[in-house]
Amino acid sequence: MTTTDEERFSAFFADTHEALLAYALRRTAVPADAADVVAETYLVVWRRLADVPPGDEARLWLYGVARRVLANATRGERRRNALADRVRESLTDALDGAPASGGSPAAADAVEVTDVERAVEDLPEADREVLRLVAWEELGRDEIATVLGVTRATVRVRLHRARRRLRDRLAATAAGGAAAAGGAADAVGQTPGPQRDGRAGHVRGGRATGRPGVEVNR
Amino acid sequence: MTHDPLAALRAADPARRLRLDSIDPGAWEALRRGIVMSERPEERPAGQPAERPAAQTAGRPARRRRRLLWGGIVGAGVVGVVATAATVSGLPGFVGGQADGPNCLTAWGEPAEASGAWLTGDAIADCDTIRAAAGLPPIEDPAVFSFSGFTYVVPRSEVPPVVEILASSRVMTPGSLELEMSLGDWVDGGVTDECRSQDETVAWVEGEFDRLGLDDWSIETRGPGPESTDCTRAFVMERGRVMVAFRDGPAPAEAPGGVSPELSAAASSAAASSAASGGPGAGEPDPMDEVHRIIAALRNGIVDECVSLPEARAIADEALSGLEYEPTPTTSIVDESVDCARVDMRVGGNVQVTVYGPSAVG
Repeated sequence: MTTTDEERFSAFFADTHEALLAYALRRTAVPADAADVVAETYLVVWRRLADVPPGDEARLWLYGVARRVLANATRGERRRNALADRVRESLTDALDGAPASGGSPAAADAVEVTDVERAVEDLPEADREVLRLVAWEELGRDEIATVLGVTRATVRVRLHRARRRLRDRLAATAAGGAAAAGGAADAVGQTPGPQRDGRAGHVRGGRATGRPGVEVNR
Repeated sequence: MTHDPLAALRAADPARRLRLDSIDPGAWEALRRGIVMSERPEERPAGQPAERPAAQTAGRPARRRRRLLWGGIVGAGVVGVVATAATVSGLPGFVGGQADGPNCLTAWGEPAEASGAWLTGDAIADCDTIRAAAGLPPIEDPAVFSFSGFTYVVPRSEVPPVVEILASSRVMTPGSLELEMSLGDWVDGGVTDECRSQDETVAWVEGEFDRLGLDDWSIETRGPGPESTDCTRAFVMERGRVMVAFRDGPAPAEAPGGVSPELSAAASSAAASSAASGGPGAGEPDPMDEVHRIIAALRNGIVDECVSLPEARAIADEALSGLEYEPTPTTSIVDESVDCARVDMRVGGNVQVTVYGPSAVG
């Protein structure tokens, strides 16, 4: 360890810790887990300090690391990191004193907030993440491409698709529960699922069937 | 209602509802101090392996556990290999994958929502079937490419610019796929309670090469280890190479109930995988009984009789219908060159059945 490294890390930590905690809170079901995600993310940063890019890109790189830490956390056993103990306790205290909802004017409409949250949760993960990065982290397309490790063109396609699906979901919700349930596949702009034809054991997909002579089932 | 969905989403930001600036500054300082006091890779004593950074382990497919179980049973070769971003790099968004089946992704850089073994060898058709079994729609405008030994099906718009889209989605030939199924087949194939010597297994594999027209495939043999029995089995090492190796543990005839350790281990893995996915657990029927029931049904109904493909399929569907967990999608392959249907069944992490045969019996 060198003093320079510690100073560099500390400056980066000071600049980013609240944004990182917000990023983690937006993606964890249990707020206490967000503290562990923050701690594990910064541990990666500390170990890979030489890889942290300069300037504004550093925050994007940080989100990319946090995204992978989150992906691991959702797949494996939930771990409690002792380094995060105090942040976790303080976070719990802060939550206890927070209003149930409504930090912004629009949030006063509790029904609308619930609908959009539900609609987003129904979307594929790739759609959800690109929407979150736009709406909550307020990132541009280039920045999102850096976080996700994909091209700007891919971000453009994903964002277009995600916005359309979210809009359709919200419209379906507004049109009523029956319409939402009955037209979910169409509402999200997806190809309807495979339909069985008359032959036993044959699945005909929306586009690609099995090669001639091959039947696939179950 | 807000017409701009993003505006509605912004208003729903969970973090905006919280006072993050109210968190104790001392708590943050404790975290910062703890991190800078932690070990870093360059501070490790010489020769001590590096701890894998969390970021490098990210991106494992959601069903990795199941695939590892499968790989542990199907063979000690390359089948079932799962790689992560830690092992292969150089392709942005690479999240690893499975080698014994297509990786079906709706978005490059994201884990697969569903995965499975090769069914027909056609990557797009197999992805459609795997996803349909999981209640998911087909991948939109799919394209197929290979990277580092893995096959991916992704929307055309998601294909990374540095890779080349394959002209055909048929990645595995029918012959090579049937060979893999046959070597791992529990009904009348490579996984058997018979104790086959090395010469017997080599001769059997050569017969399979002839039957399937695999003229360019070769066999390698491996000598016995200290725990080996006199019994051997074969598995695909890589495309074009089959390994014949000695099995470890007691001979099948000495195993409890006459069941080979291999079969027992595979059944246990199937049970473990099933339990992990919400299937039966303690107190439920022994999965080995289920496996033997299915084997018996397939032998009695298909191997010992001369039935058509549709009849064989119905027998397989009936046999699998009693499973407490969802098997790998069953595949039917038309083969008008034979008089009677045949069947392969692999077990390990799940049960996979393929039936082959004529559309009608003379």
